[in-house]
Amino acid sequence: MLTISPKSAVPPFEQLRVQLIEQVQSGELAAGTRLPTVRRLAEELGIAPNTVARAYRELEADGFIETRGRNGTVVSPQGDASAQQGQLAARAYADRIHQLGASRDDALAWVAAALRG
Amino acid sequence: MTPFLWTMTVLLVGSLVVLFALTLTSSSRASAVRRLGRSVGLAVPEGHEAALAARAARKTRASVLGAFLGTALVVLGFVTGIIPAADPESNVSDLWLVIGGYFVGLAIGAMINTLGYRPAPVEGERFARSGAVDLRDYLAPVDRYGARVSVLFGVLALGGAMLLFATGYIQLNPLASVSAAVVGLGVVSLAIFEFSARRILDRAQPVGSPAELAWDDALRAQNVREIATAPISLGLWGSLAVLLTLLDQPIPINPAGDLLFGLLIAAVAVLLTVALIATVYSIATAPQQHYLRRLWPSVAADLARPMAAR
Repeated sequence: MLTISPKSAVPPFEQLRVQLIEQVQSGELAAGTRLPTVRRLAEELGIAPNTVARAYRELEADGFIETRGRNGTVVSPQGDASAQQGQLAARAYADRIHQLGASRDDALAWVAAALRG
Repeated sequence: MTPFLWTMTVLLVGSLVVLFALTLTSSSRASAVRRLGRSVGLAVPEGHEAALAARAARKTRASVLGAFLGTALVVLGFVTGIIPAADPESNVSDLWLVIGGYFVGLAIGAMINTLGYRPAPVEGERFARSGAVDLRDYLAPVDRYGARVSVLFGVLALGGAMLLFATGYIQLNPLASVSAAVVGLGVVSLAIFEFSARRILDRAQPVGSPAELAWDDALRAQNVREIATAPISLGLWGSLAVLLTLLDQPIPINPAGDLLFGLLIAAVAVLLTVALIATVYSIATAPQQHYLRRLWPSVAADLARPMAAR
């Protein structure tokens, strides 16, 4: 969840940038997750599209997100090469679980069992 | 129109009048929102009851009005003779078409209401979801694929019937039958669904709290499901109507005719079985809470936990 406080002394651009970095680093926003479009996020948060675009540009320059043409803006994998590959594999697994309609608990149990084996 | 069709039309319109009347008093609106909350797995947030009740009531009125107009247009078509009465060579009832008008009208009403909804301006802090959403988040696979597959069944059945007519196996031109009109309505309703679902989900959700966002998700999911009901029902009924029309036709008594009769019976049995399995599966998996499992997994997990463990 993202939130913008109009009363805060921190500019909206910085509020947005910091929250997105925190969510990427904590794993709340997993690698491969698509971000909302600039226009939509600006409308939802009540800020100018340029503000969102600037935050996205800086996050892209810092390697947190990447733009993939028609697929929009997605979260980049973080860490070293193996960590990045692991995050991409996790995203693919999560997408497959969603396709199958399996529950979150089942998916976590299966992956835990597979890791034990 | 036959007395049976008039009776069924009056029953349909009567149910719409009751639904409309239930949106007129504040107590019935409040209880409707509480029922909706239980169904979609959300508690009604304090201080937002009246706004949610008003929004839900507006949605119901729009759907009811759409369904009424859709039904009335089909009935008017029958009365004035613009829509020909039931096929004399078929037992497929005009009722299929009246219910078709009802569902298409309902979908259009829900679409207009959702696309025309203007959220109240948000004062102070604003919230937004950090990930993008799409149709898969709001509509369970059984509904999403069901809408497309049912209409495809209908079109394939109609195509098969036209092939039989062209080769002289049947005398009735399927395109001039009520069943073709039901399949056609199914195609129209699928187009409405594909157009409106994306437009609805493209709209921003300006909210002042996560609870408001969850409720907005719930109402969106409900609208999209309501719009998807039309192609699912009409596609299925259209397929059945075409097959039943074919079974009513005199089929030549020879090995090819016997094979055709067997195939038609098998197709009806398969269609009914698939519809039954899909319905049971849909009821068992609570598709009205699909959005909760996708977008609010912690709320869904809490809901799934037995009461004593919470």
